[in-house]
Amino acid sequence: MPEFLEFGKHTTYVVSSFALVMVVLAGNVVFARRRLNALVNRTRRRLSAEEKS
Amino acid sequence: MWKFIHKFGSPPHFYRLSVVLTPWFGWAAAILITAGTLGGLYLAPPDYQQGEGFRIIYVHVPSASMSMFVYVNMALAAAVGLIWRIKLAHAVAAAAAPIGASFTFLALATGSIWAKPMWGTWWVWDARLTSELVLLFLYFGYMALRAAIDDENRADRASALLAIIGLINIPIIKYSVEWWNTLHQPATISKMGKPAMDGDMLTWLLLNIAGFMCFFIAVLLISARAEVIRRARDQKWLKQALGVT
Amino acid sequence: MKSRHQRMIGIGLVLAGVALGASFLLRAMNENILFYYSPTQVAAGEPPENRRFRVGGLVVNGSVERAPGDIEVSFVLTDNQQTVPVVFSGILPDLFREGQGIIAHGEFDQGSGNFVADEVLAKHDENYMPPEVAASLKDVHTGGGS
Repeated sequence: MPEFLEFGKHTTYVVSSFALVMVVLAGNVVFARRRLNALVNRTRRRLSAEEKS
Repeated sequence: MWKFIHKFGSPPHFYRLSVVLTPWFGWAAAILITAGTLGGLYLAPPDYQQGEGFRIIYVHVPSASMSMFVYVNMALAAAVGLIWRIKLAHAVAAAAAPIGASFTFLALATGSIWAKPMWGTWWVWDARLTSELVLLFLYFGYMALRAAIDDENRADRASALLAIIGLINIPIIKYSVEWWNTLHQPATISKMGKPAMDGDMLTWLLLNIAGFMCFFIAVLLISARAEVIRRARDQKWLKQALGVT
Repeated sequence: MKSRHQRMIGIGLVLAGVALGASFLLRAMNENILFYYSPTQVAAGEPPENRRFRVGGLVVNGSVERAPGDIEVSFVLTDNQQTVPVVFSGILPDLFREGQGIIAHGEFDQGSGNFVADEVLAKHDENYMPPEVAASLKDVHTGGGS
């Protein structure tokens, strides 16, 4: 464990709770953006297909 | 009022606004959470009783307060959707639910991690912990209900009703520590009076709460935009917005 | 057919969720009625006999005793009126110390007159401050003499 992650006898508790929060927050951003991008791409394809027909 | 609601309720207007606002809230969230977290971990002094373990408060309290804040906003958006029949409001409520569930999960998990060394147990069935767990089930129920109903309008109405009924749980969570004899301590930051926390500790906590707020708004804008696109039915503005010519 | 099934599952989930939530809530309130008894209530014989219950109070200063080489610890709980002697073997929470609020879960041993706990929880308060501030507050309290 690097020194900047030492928090006395509570190291495991402090580090794991902060890490969990950051992972879940990052996951929220990643999933929201991925879903938006997928929808944008799908809708674009659908719209341009309709345009041609 | 009517004009405002209808202007705000129009998907093209919301879409444009959302594209502009998302980076602002996103960067504000990144800066505030970085500052609050680093300050809470390294600059705040350790607590006189809990030592270094108290630092978990810097993620626990923002998660817990956002878990309730998001729910209130979700229920309000759902109510607006029901009363004014604005589909955008239902889209916003639907987008808020997973974010709120994440905050609730984090509040429960970080609280549990803190409770193990401090109280001596991961979990007790006291009124505060139990009502917060009920909040998590309310979010899950809301999302399951939406997913189970095919018809968009019916899903909107049924889930909105559930969200509004579940609102009763919010004051129960908030006042559980005062109404009942709980193991969980009462609120440290209250609107009335001085917070029972030293200034050097409090600053970073407030930064993280503000950061979590901006984070919620940024992710909500992204998710709501996706909802709007999904619900849009071949409209001219959608082609313009997505750059399809 | 499929959508009807989905709806049934959805309604079932909601019903289950509400039932689960309500039962948790009731359970919490039920436990809260006897979440803990104060030493005064214990002295008055209010807790049910032959049943587990919780005793809550402050750990009396100087009452904590550990037998050397043993994890068993004994201490006295008080509400400033009555006292209850508690014996406990196990890991004490970090916030356990003299003068701190404690909730012990266990049974009263009629023979020895001790409350035999198998779980000791620390009840924290809402105050947060650095050690220096706590020390200076203590100085004011003890040094001021008022």
